[in-house]
Amino acid sequence: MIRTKYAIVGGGPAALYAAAAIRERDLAGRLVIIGAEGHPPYFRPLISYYLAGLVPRENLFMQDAEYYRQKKIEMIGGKVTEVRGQEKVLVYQPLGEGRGDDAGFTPDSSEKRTAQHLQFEKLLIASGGTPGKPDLPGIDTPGVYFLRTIEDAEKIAARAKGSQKALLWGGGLVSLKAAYALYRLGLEITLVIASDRILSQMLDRKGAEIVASYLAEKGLKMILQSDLQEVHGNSRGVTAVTLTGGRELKTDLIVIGKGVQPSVSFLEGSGIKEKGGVEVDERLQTNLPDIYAAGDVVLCRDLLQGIPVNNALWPNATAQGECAGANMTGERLTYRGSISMNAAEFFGLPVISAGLGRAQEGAGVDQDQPRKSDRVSSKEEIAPAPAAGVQPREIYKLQKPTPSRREPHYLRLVFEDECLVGYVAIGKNRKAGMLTNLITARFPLAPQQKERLISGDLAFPFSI
Amino acid sequence: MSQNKHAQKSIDPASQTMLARAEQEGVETAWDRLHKQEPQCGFGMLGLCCRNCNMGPCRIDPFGDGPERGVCGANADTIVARNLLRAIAAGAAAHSDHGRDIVEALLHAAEGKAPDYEIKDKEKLAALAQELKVPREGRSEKEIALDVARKALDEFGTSKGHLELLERAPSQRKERWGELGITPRGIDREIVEIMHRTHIGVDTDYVNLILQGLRAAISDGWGGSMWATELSDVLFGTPEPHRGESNLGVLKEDEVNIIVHGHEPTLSEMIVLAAKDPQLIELARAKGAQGINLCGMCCTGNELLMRHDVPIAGNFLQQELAIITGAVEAMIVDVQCIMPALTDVAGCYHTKIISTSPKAKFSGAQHVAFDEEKALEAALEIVRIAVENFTYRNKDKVFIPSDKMEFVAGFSTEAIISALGGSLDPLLDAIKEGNIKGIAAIVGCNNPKIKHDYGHVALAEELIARDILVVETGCAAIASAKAGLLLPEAAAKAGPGLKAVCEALQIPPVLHMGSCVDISRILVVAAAVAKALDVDISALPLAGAAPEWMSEKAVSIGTYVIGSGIFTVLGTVPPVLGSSNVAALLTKGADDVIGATFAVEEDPLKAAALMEEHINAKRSGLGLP
Amino acid sequence: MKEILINLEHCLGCKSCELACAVEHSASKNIFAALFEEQLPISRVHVEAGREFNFPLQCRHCADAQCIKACISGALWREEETGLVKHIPEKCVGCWMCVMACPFGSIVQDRKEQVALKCDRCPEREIPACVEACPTKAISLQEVPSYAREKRQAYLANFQEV
Ligand SMILES: Cc1cc2nc3c(=O)[nH]c(=O)nc-3n(C[C@H](O)[C@H](O)[C@H](O)COP(=O)(O)OP(=O)(O)OC[C@H]3O[C@@H](n4cnc5c(N)ncnc54)[C@H](O)[C@@H]3O)c2cc1C
Ligand code: SF4
Repeated sequence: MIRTKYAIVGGGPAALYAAAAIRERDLAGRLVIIGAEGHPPYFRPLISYYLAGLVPRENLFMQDAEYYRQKKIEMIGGKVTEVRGQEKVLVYQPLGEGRGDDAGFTPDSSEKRTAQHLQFEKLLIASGGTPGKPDLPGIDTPGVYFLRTIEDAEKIAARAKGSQKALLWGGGLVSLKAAYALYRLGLEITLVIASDRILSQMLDRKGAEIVASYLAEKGLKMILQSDLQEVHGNSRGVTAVTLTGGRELKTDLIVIGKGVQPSVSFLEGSGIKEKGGVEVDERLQTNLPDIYAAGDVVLCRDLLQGIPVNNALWPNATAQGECAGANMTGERLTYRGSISMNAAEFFGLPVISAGLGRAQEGAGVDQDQPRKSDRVSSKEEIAPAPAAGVQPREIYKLQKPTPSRREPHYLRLVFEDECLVGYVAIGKNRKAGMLTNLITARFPLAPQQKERLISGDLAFPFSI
Repeated sequence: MSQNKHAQKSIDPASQTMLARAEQEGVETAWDRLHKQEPQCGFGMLGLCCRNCNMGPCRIDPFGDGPERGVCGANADTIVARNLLRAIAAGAAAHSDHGRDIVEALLHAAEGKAPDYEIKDKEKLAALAQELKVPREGRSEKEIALDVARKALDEFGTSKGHLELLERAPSQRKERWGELGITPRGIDREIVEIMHRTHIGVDTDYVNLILQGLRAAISDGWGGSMWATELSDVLFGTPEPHRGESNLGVLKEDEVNIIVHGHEPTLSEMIVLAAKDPQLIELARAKGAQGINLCGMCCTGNELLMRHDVPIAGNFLQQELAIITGAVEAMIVDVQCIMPALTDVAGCYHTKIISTSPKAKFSGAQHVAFDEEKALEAALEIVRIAVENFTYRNKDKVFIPSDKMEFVAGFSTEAIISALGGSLDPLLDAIKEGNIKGIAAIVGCNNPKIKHDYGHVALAEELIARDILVVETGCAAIASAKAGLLLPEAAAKAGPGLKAVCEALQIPPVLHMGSCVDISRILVVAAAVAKALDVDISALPLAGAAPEWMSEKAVSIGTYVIGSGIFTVLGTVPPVLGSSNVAALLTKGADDVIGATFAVEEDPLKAAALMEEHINAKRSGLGLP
Repeated sequence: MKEILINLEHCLGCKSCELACAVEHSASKNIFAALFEEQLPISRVHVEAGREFNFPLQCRHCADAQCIKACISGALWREEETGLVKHIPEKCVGCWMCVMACPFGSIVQDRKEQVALKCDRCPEREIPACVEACPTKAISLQEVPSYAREKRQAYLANFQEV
């Protein structure tokens, strides 16, 4: 049995940032990372670029072997199957040979395939998320993939070679990134989206429309408010799908992008409290002392909503990992909470959304108030009588008309009273970070500051 | 190390010595101030800032990231062109206002209001009278002079519709000006029109703007400047070749040193007389000096050295250095190119800066109003101040570099023709035969951005080595004087063809033709050659260069030189690159329009190659070998 | 540790720093030549125009850099020896996570190449181009004791919330 001071389950960014934070404070205590992928931590969001051939494999990894050697971070390829929270023991299944070949990982060949035990003093759960796999006839047909790991990307790339048509099931970020990669590889792309708009987790309706029409111009087909009913295939794999409503579509490969759930199944019986995601306190400690959690696996305080949510995003994973790691060494750092935010460039169009950027459009006034000849700013809505505990929400939209072939420009600002609580920025977005900061700082704006923001003048924090 | 450092700033040994001295004494010079200004404003360098209205100032982002238009909507083309035009207007105004002063001096002399001035060159007056169709028969010299002066004065705001002296240009050139609608209609008018057209919301078409720039510049070259030259010759004599001395070594340790600096000859001519006044010389002796040593600087210096035995102490960048010698009792200044820094530098020494023009006063300077009616009286007064100041010279601070160089100057058009034996033919023949491949004019200022004098001297040496005869004016000519290129002996540095011609005629390979307004003399020679060959000026194997230019006058000069059909190479980048359209028009498109373009080349050796290439192209255009 | 400090009262908004920065990041490092380069250079400092004052803004090289933590490609990293936040354009995929994260808005975008750009403190110069270019010395590079550095960071954090 391995005895270690620090153990980390999962080899993603949360794990690495935690390990680095530990090593900044404690270079002596043994530190073991157990990761089920057999790769040292890598830039997961790069895999779609890797799939497209835009990023070489060696650029995926966050650190090189030398780093782990120097920082004395041990890495084991293995899947944790059980955590005994009270005993501070975990059980893992080492990966077979042939995995764990990437820099920094030690393939555990001597003890292949038999379950191993590990005794820890401090544990971090950083097992990330697992893509949801809908139950559907034919879903196991070869040629149906997720895009979550390096292996996924490699499998998709291999199949894409002989393929003409790809179907992306889902209209979220990962689907669109996969779509772009496959588009770069020359495939004809169709997105099947259950919701009434693309990027429904990120964008408001108007924003989604703008992005969708931009994507359509690039040749993307999008089928909204539709779902897969059945996957058809033959000996060579997927050939077609049937959509709800009966329509049939030919396709050579399918990528499922129907969301990601925290990877918590192995925590059953561990004594660690989870509700579809590990619950943590403000120090990122679970209900059990000395056991922490960070990254896509946690439910943690949303700065705006005040309730625990799963803001499964890279910057949150790194920040949480860093905080949890420090606390594992005895430091007392608090994690203020996270907001939902994301940025991406879709087929050349930058899109950023943060906080409650896509906040519900409900009943309210929708009056046009043109401000400048070249832009239309409208106060979209004021929720009439706020329900108890809910702030009245004001939404302003700023849109420059988009002459054809010009990049659209759209800014949507969501306020609760004097605070900015969300925004969507499509196209030009240079100062977006200042808006993000206004949101996370929960900064109360003076009326004239707010006025300037609404008029699209983002230089404001430095000028009043 | 420190000597080496100063060798980066100037090729002139006297200046290098004085720069080291300035450093030692802790006196700031233009080079230091340039250094403090660096890096200089990129918008300014590219011509992309506009201050023409108070919605502005506006700037265009040259890299396309920021604003593409000013508040009014002006784009880079408009802004760059407007700025260029305003520079031309300022330059043309400076020359032409100088010209007007000369015209008025002649007028007042003829009216008897300026008794100290006489008409020195009666032949030239007669020739001008004939050219201007002023009747001479039975009329006194004064009456003729009065008519000539009035005709000249009329040029500034004439209602005739065009300028008188344009007639000197070959017909092909005049026709081209006419076709383009850029025949100047009045010297002042073109300048005023630039100020109007560059006002917010008037002319925005860069081509149309630049055409007006050409018109105003031509009114300078063939108007204001030409009148300045012509009537200065009438009043003070047409220059003839003679020897003189140049550089700071002309200052004398044991004499009262007076430097006249600036541009106009009216005052300095009187100072020449005053400095010879026996009473003042006696006063100087009484103060312990051996005598009065009058020296020139910049173009006032050029005006004097062309006509008198007055040495020249240096060119533009040496004005501060001269004071740092600690041996200058007075620097008498009038207008143009007088550094505002002079009074600061003079404050470290006993030197008096004496301003004389109501148009140019300097805080910290002593002002003695110069008035044509009592010209000599004022001059005597000024020299007296200088002589009396000798008492305050601190002998310990005196540091005069030993460097000086002889030169031959005084090559007016008339002098060149007479050196050629009375006609242009020998020159034309030498060009036709290829002994002289062509003629290059090197003009312009000094600019601390270019190693002092290097631009001028290296270019001149390179050109004469290529058998190209060089004519010079202004600070360029002073640079050559100091480098010994204005001596017949310098023919040794010329190529075989030019060398033979120079030796036969006993002339230097580089001819000093006068001050910056005297570039008009070059136009007159060019026009005469063109007429003799019955071609446009643009067909001639001629080229111009302003290797160290800095002033707005130089912008106007460059523009009228290309406007007259002569290819011109600039040694420092003009602030026009912010508009690729304006830059392309000036460096390429203009060839089709007026038969000449600008080029920018900092390296004088490469500039020489460009000029030779151009001259060779024109030679083959004329069917010459 | 040296820091770029800004004297707000001195900034006249001439944008000389922007030009100097762009030129420093051009191939030729010469303003005239830079204009003719195929890829026009991009400034990494931007003068924010205010009502009462202007603010030349470039990367603050924050101790707790949000951009590094947000970067999904490893293009942004901290150089241990200098403490500077560095960026490797070759690694950058242009996802704009850093733009979203930087509280100062000081990440600059090269939209043509789809990469982020930022202040690199002019590694080839002793004094950064923007500092040298500022005619009023509103931008200066100064040795800041580390406690003051923290104060400074705190001040800046305040400032954007002011
Ligand atoms: C294609 C794609 C694009 C993305 N783009 C963006 C983006 O643009 N912006 C953004 O903010 N986010 C993006 N994300 C999300 C981002 O990658 C995640 O938020 C981030 O990786 C979470 O890090 P983590 O360390 O919490 O978990 P993960 O990165 O998921 O790492 C967890 C690791 O733990 C391992 N593991 C799980 N269970 C066990 C176990 N029982 N035993 C051992 N190991 C286990 C997993 O195999 C995995 O290797 C993207 C994700 C994908 C797939
Ligand atoms: S004239 Fe036009 S460009 Fe010039 S300052 Fe005024 S608005 Fe700006």
